[in-house]
Amino acid sequence: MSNSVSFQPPRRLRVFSFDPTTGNRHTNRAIRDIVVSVPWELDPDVGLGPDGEYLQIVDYDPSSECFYAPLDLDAPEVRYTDGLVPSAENPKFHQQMIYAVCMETIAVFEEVLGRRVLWSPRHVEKTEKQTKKGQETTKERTFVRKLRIYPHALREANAYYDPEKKALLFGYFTADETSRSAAPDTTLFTCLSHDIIVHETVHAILDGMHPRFIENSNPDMLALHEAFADIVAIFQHFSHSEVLQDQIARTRGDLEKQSLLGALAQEFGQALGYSGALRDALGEYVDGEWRAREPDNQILRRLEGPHARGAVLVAAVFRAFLNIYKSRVADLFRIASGGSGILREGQIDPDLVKRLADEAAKSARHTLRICIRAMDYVPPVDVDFGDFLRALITSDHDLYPEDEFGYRMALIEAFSAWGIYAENTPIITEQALLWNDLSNAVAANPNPGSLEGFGTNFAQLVANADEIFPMLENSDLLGDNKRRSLARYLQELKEDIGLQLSASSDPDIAQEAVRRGKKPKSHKRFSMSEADLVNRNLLGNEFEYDRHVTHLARIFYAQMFWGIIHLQNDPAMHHMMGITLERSAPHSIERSAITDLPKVQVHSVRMASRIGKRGLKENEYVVEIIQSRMGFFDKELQAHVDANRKQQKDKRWAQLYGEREFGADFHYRCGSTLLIDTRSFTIRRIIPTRCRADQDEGLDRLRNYLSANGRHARNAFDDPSAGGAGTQAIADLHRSVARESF
Amino acid sequence: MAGTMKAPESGVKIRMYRQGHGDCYLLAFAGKKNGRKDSIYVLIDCGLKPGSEVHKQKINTIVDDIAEATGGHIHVVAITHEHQDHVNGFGKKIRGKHIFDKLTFDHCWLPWTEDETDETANALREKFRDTLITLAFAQEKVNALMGAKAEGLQERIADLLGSEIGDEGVAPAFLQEGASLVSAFTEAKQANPNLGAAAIAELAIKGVSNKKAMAYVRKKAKAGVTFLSPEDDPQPIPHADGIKAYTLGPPRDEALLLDLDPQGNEEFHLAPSGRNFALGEAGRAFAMAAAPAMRDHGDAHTFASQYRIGADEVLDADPPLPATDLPQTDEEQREVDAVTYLRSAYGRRDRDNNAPEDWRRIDDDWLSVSEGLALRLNNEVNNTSLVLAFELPNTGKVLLFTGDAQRGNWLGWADLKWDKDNGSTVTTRELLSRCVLYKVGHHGSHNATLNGTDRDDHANIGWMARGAFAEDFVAMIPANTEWAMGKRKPWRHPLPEIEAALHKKARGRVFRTDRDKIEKPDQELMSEGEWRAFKRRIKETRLYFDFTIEDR
Repeated sequence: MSNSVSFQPPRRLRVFSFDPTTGNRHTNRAIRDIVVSVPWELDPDVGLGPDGEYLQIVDYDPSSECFYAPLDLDAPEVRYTDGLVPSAENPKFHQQMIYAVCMETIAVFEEVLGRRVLWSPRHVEKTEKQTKKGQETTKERTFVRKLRIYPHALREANAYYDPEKKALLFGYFTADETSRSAAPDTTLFTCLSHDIIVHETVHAILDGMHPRFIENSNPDMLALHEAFADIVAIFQHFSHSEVLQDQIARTRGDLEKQSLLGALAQEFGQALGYSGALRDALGEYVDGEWRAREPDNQILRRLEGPHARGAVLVAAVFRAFLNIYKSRVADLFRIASGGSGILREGQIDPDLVKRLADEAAKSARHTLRICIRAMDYVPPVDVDFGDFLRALITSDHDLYPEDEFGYRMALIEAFSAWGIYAENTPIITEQALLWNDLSNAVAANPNPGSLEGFGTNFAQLVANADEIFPMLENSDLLGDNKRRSLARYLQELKEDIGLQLSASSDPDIAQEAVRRGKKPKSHKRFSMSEADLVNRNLLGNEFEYDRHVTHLARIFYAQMFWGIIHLQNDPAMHHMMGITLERSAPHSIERSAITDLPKVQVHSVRMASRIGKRGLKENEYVVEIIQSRMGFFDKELQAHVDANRKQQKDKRWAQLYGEREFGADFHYRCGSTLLIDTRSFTIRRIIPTRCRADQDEGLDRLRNYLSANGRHARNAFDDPSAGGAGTQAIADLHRSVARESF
Repeated sequence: MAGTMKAPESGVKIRMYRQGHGDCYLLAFAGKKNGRKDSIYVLIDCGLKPGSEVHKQKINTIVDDIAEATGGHIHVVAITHEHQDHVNGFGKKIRGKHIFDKLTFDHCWLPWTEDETDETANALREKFRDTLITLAFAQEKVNALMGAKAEGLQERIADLLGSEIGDEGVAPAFLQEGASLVSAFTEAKQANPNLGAAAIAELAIKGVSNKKAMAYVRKKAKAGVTFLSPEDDPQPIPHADGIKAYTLGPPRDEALLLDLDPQGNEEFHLAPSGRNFALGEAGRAFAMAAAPAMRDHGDAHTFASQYRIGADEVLDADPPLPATDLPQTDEEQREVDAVTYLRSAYGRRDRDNNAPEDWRRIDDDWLSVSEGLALRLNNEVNNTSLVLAFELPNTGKVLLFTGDAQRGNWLGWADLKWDKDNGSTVTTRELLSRCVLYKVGHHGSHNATLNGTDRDDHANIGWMARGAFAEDFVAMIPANTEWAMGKRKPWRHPLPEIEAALHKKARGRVFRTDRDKIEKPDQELMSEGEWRAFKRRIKETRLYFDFTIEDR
């Protein structure tokens, strides 16, 4: 990866596998702690805090009016001893544990996706200029290098990711007489739960990939956020084979009893509310004996709320994992049993236990990878479980066209057992579940010429972005004013990228960067002159650059991509991409200030890089395109806004809301994710949302969903339909966990 | 007397007062006293949220009307639960005298959760008490820390604390609802230095306005207080022959009472602990930080002193570093490094110095849990609501008054049954199938009216008014929407969904405090003749609605 640093062994840091204050079952003593390895080159310059490339831990406990001393990972008593000894009494160990587990999670995502993890950018209001109407402000997406972590921020049994602060806040609380998990007056720390740390980190990573996923746009959307976070937590935990050995030994070698691993997953999550609730569907204790829950393909019809629904997704993926694991160890059972498949009574051989645990850990790692990879194969907004299933199948198929180990079969079986189907996909086969490729999409009939032009332009963009400028400037899309401001904007972006690139090597430029308010990076990774920056493909080699460059490059390429979309004036092609640029489109679709056409946001252009069949690197560009439409609960008002009838609109608004300032009740978003081949520049997959912005069906569906939300109001006072996105969404999600009985 | 409210020949007249966001219902049952026909009066609750007045009517106007309507004597006063908008009428004083002083009461009916001889009730009150005191202290902290920027949270806490604490005619200043309780606690502690925090809390809580209003009514009831429980036989109303009042709630099941979602087959048991911070796991750690005055034993630090760095040292120390001299030892150097790091990462307290990461600070995030605690307390107190179903003897028609019962309370109804004189039993399902009047719970909010159908296992509006009674159903919603929606963080009262469901079921015959008239429903919902018949049974004034239910 890095071309400068000499080899350094990874940082080995001990963490609790089971928090001793909550998971102090005597039987688990052997796996109380595990050692996590953080690759050195991932965070070479981490300092006191720990304060590194991705994370900054600030241990402030405002309710106690104190800070806790920061941990120095390079202190001899840490660096050469696998870190501090696990201890609930030492806040520095808490910092160590959070750092190690968070970094391990980041490392997994980077490895699986083949690119750098970026936190979701911060939207900063920027005053552009003074106009007659007042100040014109734009929102700028600024780079956030470090996720802030507060290990002891709250006094409650809760931890959450705050999307505004780009921070993880962990709480602690005191057990009382009614506590199930600990002795009265024990202090319990959420930051000592491996699974909670992973869960929260994944919320942050996923928000970086898909910032719109925290919008409550369908019954599955928040459930997917929750379930995905928990799936990663479970399988990352399970990929440490040593934590599985005890439980596997207890199965006494009965292949069918391997589902007892579900009990272990529940124990890992038992301590605290939401994490436990998400695992409720795995199984339960009946008369003192744990039993896996039989899947119920009708259950999603009646379950409501993110945790109850999320639990079903967790159970489905877990079932697939068990199927994969069982098929991987069937031969071991045959060998060990002399062919009968049934081992003799009593303890099983420790060697066999170890082999079984290794296979289980390997199955966990594979399941984890498949799930993470799928997150590049989902629509950019408004995803449901069926979409996720299609994403799982398609992403795995595109990497391994032959389902050699039956992974996809296992997934399809498990998902249908739990009643998760893809909408409008009557036949549940692998083929039917694959997202459309271009040949299907061409049925939508775009002009082949525009597709070709699109591919050529995209190739041009990647090869030499500068040449897209004149094309944009010469097109009749823009008026003179607009042309200049777009050009200026792109020029600024380019300069920023150059500055960031050069700052990493040249101290003078670094100073210049500071002067201009752009914080340079101290770490030297790369050196390059400003001139040749756009001639390079900045997307392809992210690991060579500073993450700030990556952030800017993704925005830059997204802007250029936006231009490419506009250069092809072919409505059919736009429809194929899940958008509309027609002037006649409903006016509730916001209009672009640059083109006066319906606004389109290219959310990001990024590279996905994986090791595929025959060990070859498979690269794809992932492009997300989003369009937004203002939604109103009142249909009459909606009609006036759609038709741009200003007077009637104002009248109706005043009728309904009096003096209140005009604004949408909700936003309906749609669009598509495009996967583009890096060699041929042709579109490989098109992953659209169910409807386009100009199709009322989708809007009506969202309106109905939100207005029926009354039943799910989180309390007796607030307007239930007003909820959705916002700072508090995830905090509240974790605060009010309703548990369903399955 | 011209203003007397007379019961019909047979049956009951219900007067729904229109004071504002709150409950006050006067029932006149046809009864007999000293061998002569007489009206027997039952008053259910009397209160409103200050500021929510409809037509700017004062609560004393209402009490004047009650006095006039009843001739100054009420046979039964029932209080559903201890919330401001249900009791502050009883607490209100003018020139030092209670406005209810001019009336006399016979009986006082209260839910079993008010019974001091009941262990569960005591445990529950202990929990409410400590939560309330914690919130009062938290309000101080919230006000001090959040300044203007968290108005939503501040208003929410102010509203909810206001409901729990109440008033005696003059509402406490906005954002100062908890102040009197904080000072009562502090004073009691000073006066009784040897008492433990739990005992101090018990002293302090007595001064809360809602508690005083309850005490006033209990003392005033000449014939004494009756605590009602769903296990009891239906309660007769003195002098009103044949009328039976069934108690549906509050439930005895503690999990339902606290609206807990039981996990698996675990059991939960409420028992008075006699110790401080009896808030349960959810609030205990928070209370220790928010209300340190409630601590019995000094400071309870989360971590040992060797790890702690005082917040001031980082946030507002001046000069810049702890020692001006060069640090002498490694230990000192480490401390300087630590403070330097924390300052650069977190920034200083004065926010003018352009701390680059100011937007990531978390000074007040921990306090937002107080909103959750306050909401839960509100919900739990609502759940202690006395739920009464009055049954008329001849037709079997039932009137349902739910107070502000929430979901847990409703869930407790389904399994109840009572023995009848003739040996058969009455079930809740059967009882509710005869319900022709529903006083809507908690202003029509989420979870205070369960929607559903006859087929569901839990009681819901689908259980009400079945068969021959289906045509008669009428609902009363105590709500002032304009006021509730005018809040900075608006209250969705009533929830449109619930109102729509009621509207459908009652075919338009829904009374609302803030609407002067019931609009005539569409022809397809109700025939002209039916509407006229309904109009004859009601009287709509600025002060109240009267509605007569004949029992013939």
